[in-house]
Amino acid sequence: MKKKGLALLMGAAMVLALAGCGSGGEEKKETKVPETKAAAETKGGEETTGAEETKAAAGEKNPNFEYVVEAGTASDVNDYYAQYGIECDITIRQKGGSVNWLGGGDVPLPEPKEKYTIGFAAYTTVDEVGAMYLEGIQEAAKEIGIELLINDANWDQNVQNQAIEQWILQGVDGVILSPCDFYGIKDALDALEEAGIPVVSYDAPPNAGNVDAVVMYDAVEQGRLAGEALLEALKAGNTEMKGNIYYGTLPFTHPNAQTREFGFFSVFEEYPDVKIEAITGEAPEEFYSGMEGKIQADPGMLGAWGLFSSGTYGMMQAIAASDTDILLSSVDNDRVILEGIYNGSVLGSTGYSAIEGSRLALMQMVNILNGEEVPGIVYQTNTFITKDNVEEMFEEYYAGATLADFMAGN
Amino acid sequence: MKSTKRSGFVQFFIKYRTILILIVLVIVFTCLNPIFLNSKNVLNMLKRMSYVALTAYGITFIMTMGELDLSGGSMAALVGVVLGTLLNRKVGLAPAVFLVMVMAVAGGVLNALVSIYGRINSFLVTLATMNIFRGIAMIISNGRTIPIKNSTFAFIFGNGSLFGIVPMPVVIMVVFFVISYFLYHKTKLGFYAKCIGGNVEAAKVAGVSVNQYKIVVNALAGFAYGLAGLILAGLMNGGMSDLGETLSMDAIAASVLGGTAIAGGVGSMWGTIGGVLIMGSLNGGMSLLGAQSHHQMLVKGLVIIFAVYLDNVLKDRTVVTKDH
Repeated sequence: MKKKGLALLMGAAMVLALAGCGSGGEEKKETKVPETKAAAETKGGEETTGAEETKAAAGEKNPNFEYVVEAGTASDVNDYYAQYGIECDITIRQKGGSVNWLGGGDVPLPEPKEKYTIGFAAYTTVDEVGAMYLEGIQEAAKEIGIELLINDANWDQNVQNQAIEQWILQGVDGVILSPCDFYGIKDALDALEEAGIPVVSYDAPPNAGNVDAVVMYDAVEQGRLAGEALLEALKAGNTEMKGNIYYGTLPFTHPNAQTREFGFFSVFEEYPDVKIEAITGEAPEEFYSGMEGKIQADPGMLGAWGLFSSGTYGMMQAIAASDTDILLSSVDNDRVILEGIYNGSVLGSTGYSAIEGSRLALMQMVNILNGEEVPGIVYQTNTFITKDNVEEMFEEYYAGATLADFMAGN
Repeated sequence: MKSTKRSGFVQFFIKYRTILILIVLVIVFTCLNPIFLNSKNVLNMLKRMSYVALTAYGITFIMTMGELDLSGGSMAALVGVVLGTLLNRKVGLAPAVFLVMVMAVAGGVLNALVSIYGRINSFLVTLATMNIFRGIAMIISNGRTIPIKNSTFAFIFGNGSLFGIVPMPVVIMVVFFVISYFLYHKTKLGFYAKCIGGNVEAAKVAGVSVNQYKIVVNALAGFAYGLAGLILAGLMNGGMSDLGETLSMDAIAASVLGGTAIAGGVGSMWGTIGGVLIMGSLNGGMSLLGAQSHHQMLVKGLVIIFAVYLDNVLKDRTVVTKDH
């Protein structure tokens, strides 16, 4: 009896503690899509001179910059995220405005005034995008004689923070980073600020702490392009706009996932009979089994969308195994996805160049260290890849390689 | 004679293996990069070891009883998420911390009760609760980070420091080490834990209330996981459902490195803290040398195999000694 009582008491204690958390888990994702700040404020390309000039400082009018927020103005990423329900409280120290990058992968690198040592802290380098970021920055650093210290934290913010603390002790000149956790990075950013070490973030920026400059992409646009391609394909097939679309996303909140969702959902807002339902997971096999179940339960589904590469890949394999012709749209440009586009199993995917991103981050950092004023935010180029341009884009994203070679197993 | 000499060296190495390995690591890493022994780097490394150490103290008790617990990391994540949620709902810091610690202790007791009365191996029970605790954390947080902006909490469990020098998580690690050492080596609780792990039937015959001690030890481990969760949340400035995914495995590895027998009955808190220091030095040293996480995983795996091998050698030597 005593034991039962003890068990009940312990159970009650856990319930009591959890009860305080109430309905946190019932929070539903908003599907309303506001206009993106980038889109709203784009002024169109400004004519600039000095195309041969390799310095990318905002004041010098780089021809590859299209100003979203005018040079000489502080940029604000907080408002951008606030529109999508993401709490972001960072200050971007550089006041060179915000720009869209128009130059593709051909990012000019400035000449360092001194021999700089720069820390490169990646959330991971062992997936395709992470590996390309690493490869890109290593090559770029070698090109202009920068000493690069590298840390791959494998999604562990404590590991990343430790590396940054050690770099401060080692006296690095600057740090380029992409956080594992968007709030957990704050203490490391505070320590860098205290040490007077400039920071450039790439991929999605931190949501807490201060940085000097940000290189990012418009993830809302990425989702929107994927949605538009799916809608177009449905319309081309004269499909009645009634039914379900399944999309593969992460089981936890990530700024890129939330913003991509907003972009995708916005496309289908005017179709009330279209329901968009999530399949969550991290690894391709989770999306494979999730999609397999949906195909069995809902063979008449309208289509599917992979919000990121693992989602697309798992769903693509499940669709292939079921021998159906479900339309699949995507974001990301892993080589297997590009092969899927070529083969027709993926109708298209929004791609961006990791090499471009890493070179832009290094360009920003070296300019800052050289004492230039640089744009606070550089938005990378998004390109929607279809069968028509997939071979070209493969060569853009994977310099020196071709899709044909990849498909031949080389 | 020759054989006896070699045996003596091996025995010496086995007995002091934790400290010997640690000394070698410190020398090697310092030679490769002198910043390794920089006082700030040492304190930073200790800060990052603190939550592993707390978990390892709990795991040492559990393993000494011949049991295993995989749920520590998940409970640590749940503690952070629940605490963040409570604080954001304007619950005061003290009651919120009290509530989550009660929850952590209850989680430990729940593991014990299900194992004892369900007659299920503790490994399987905690395999299940590992998923349950993390699942609850994900449901509550909806996969989001729950920012914690309480400066007192941040000072005590995060980046505050005693006299502006020693990080508070290190202070907590040391204080709880003293308590754990006392409980493990100087009280009936520790003694009976070893008896139960050494020979549970003999312990029963000797009148030890095995189930009662299992519950108490699991409650204590739950408390340790709770503290680890508070520190993780403090260092990260928020509660996150994906925190501490490798925490239990790191703590088990540290405990085994420190000489806690997987089969139970043998262990030492000095050994455990030594094991934690080895794991932390490996992480910090390799990070300083620019080794990437996948290389660190590889090395950690090899170290664990080495530790288990030593554990087996130690057992064999013990048997030989007894035979003689």
